[in-house]
Amino acid sequence: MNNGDKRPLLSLRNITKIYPGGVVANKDVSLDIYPGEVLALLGENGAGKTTLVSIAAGLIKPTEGQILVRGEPVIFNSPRDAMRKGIALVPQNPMLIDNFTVLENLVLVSRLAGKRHGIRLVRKQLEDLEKKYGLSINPSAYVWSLSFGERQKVEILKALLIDASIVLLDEPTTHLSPIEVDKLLSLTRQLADEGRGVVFITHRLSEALRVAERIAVMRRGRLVAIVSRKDAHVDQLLSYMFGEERIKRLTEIVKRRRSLPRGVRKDIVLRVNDLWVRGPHGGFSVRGASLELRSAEVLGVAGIAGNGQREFFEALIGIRKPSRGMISICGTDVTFRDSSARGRLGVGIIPEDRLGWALVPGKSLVFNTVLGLYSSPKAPIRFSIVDWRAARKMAENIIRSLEVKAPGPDANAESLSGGNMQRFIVGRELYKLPCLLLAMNPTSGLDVEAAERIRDLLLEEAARGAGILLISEDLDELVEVSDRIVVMSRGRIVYEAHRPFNIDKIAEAMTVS
Amino acid sequence: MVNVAALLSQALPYATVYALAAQGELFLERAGLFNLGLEGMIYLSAGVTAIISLYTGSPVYGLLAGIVSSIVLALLYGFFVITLGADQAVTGLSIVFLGIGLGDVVGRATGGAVTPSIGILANDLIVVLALLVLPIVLYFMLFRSWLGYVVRSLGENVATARALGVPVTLTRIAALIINGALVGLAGSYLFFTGPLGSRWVSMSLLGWGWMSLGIVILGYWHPVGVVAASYLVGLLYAMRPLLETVGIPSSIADVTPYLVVIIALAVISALYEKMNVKPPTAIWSR
Repeated sequence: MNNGDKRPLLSLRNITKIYPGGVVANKDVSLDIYPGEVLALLGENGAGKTTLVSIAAGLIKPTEGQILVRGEPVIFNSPRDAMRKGIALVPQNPMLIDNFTVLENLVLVSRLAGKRHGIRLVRKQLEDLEKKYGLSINPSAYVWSLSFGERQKVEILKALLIDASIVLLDEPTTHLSPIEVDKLLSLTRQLADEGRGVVFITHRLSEALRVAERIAVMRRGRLVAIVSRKDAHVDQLLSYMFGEERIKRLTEIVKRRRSLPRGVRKDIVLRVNDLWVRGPHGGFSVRGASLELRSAEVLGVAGIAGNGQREFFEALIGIRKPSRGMISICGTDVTFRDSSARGRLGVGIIPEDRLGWALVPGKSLVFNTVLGLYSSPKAPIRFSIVDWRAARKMAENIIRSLEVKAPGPDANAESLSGGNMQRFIVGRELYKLPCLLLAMNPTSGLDVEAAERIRDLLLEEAARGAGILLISEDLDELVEVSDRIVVMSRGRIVYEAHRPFNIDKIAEAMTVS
Repeated sequence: MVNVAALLSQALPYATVYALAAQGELFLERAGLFNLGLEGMIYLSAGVTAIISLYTGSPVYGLLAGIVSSIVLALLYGFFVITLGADQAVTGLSIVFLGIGLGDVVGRATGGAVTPSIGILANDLIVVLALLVLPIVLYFMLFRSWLGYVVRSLGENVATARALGVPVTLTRIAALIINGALVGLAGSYLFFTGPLGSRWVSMSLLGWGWMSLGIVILGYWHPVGVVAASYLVGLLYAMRPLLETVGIPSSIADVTPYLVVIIALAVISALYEKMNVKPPTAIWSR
């Protein structure tokens, strides 16, 4: 496509964003978006992509730099200002009012965007959009009752409803199944063909190559390159994304990983039999799941988010009471016992929420070490009294042996970066010398290197003899580390696969059934 | 025999006070703020109404002054909570004590003189406003208009609302003014038609604000529910003398309204959930 004779819809000029605390999220980024094109914004997590589109959508203010809409300089004091200029952001995690219906959410947005549309008119527009784009949704459904994919649909409808000429899609495929991804990509294409400018943020190279005319690559807050798809080479893009140095190091990590011993022993460390668990809204989220995990084995649980994995995990770690069925850990029935019973048995737990579940924000790493280990026989507690000196030593050990970047054991848990937090958590759980390690999405939100490190640690634990149950939404990750993968769909285990994995079969089991 | 019609009409003034204050609080809570200070605002408004009506000789000026004084307290609350980021419970309780203290100072200044009172027509107007007009207007405003969506989004999820571009501070200041005005009107009306009958007696107008807070919950944060709850509690108040005549000790008769509120809430909350009436999420998540 020839952009020379077209004026850009949106221009970002020399955008710099420095967060309070000194983190430079964007450094001197300039980017033009033209009508009728899809521009992929490619980069790994933490490269500054989300910050950049948040600035364009008026969510945050740039420290320096200028935004132009159709050549006209603008200043956004609120997302409202951006919406009124025709800029819509579809955020990675939908930002909707849960207790409102779809229609109420849409009316609210259309009003804030300055459209004088009444409730009836919005309802009618919704029907038209449904016909035109195939985005069917029940307007009187409450948002809390919607699946992730449906919520994203509402977000896209928001953009269409305010007739945005610039649509910013932030990692839109994160939580979608392969089939949903296909649909989304063709919808993206359709939006651009209608003359809109679309920015498609992704960290997946393949998606960028499939959907975009131009690919802008970001690394560490800077815009490294803009290439058109015709001239794009995978190797070139990869080195833009990671830098030559990093690529070399990553290759080494993968090599070292392959050399780790793999084996399956006999003793069963986790047995789940016909487990039924109710979800937060009363209905059953887990409906008769059964599985067995042996020591030194890595068992991956695949599935699209919202198919009962969360409730399954919560029941396994003892914070959600199952309705019936059986959970037995290392031969002990723990079905109706709490999480401290797991602690005594030496179960390591790596929950999805690092801050809140695994670590107490605002408390030191020493405190968090004690709290995480208190029910374990390895806890620095003698006759119910905390031995703070021993605890301190433990925290120091964890920081040293896992190379956690922290000022010291007294550092506030909150002040660590995601990768360092997770490393600390894993290190603490390893202190229990667990016979069983339960992990849910342990690498979500981490950059490539930090994620690799966490996977390495899990594999090393398996090599030591622990059984690892890894629930993850990232199929690539599961395929990489698991010895066996089961697929969870609508609260049931519907498929089991052994190495070597057939990814298409697994993906099919995730979406069909 | 019991004169039912008389009882039903005796309940009206009580219900009016509760309804005005509780609807004001409901509106504010829907906007995501929780003002515990109603008790102080009602008391101050009654005191200001007393002194201004006495000195100007006009109950209307007194009424307006009462409303203004209550709005000032509400905005003071807003200044602490929104601008300075103070804790809502602590600030609300401070407003209670501040309001009662100030209200007593100005109320005492009347020396217990009888002030001019509002006429029957104005009285009836306020009753109709509180028990008929207000719930209907508030219902359509909150649940059937986009302005209501703006207000309610703040009670559901402020972070999301802000990200959607809802003018958070502006909307909340507007909600505080409405809160102050309705609560102030409740206080003024209470002074004119309550147990004092347009004559200030220290410490005799207590408990109304606290009960109104309970009525918001009993009405399940819904304008129609709140007006029904107000009338129910008003009726129980009106029935107190009756309970005493049938031999129930006055101490037990006095606590009956409170007991009934607790029991009714337990019974009714399930019903509300079934009708899909939900409290604003932020009230609980904060």
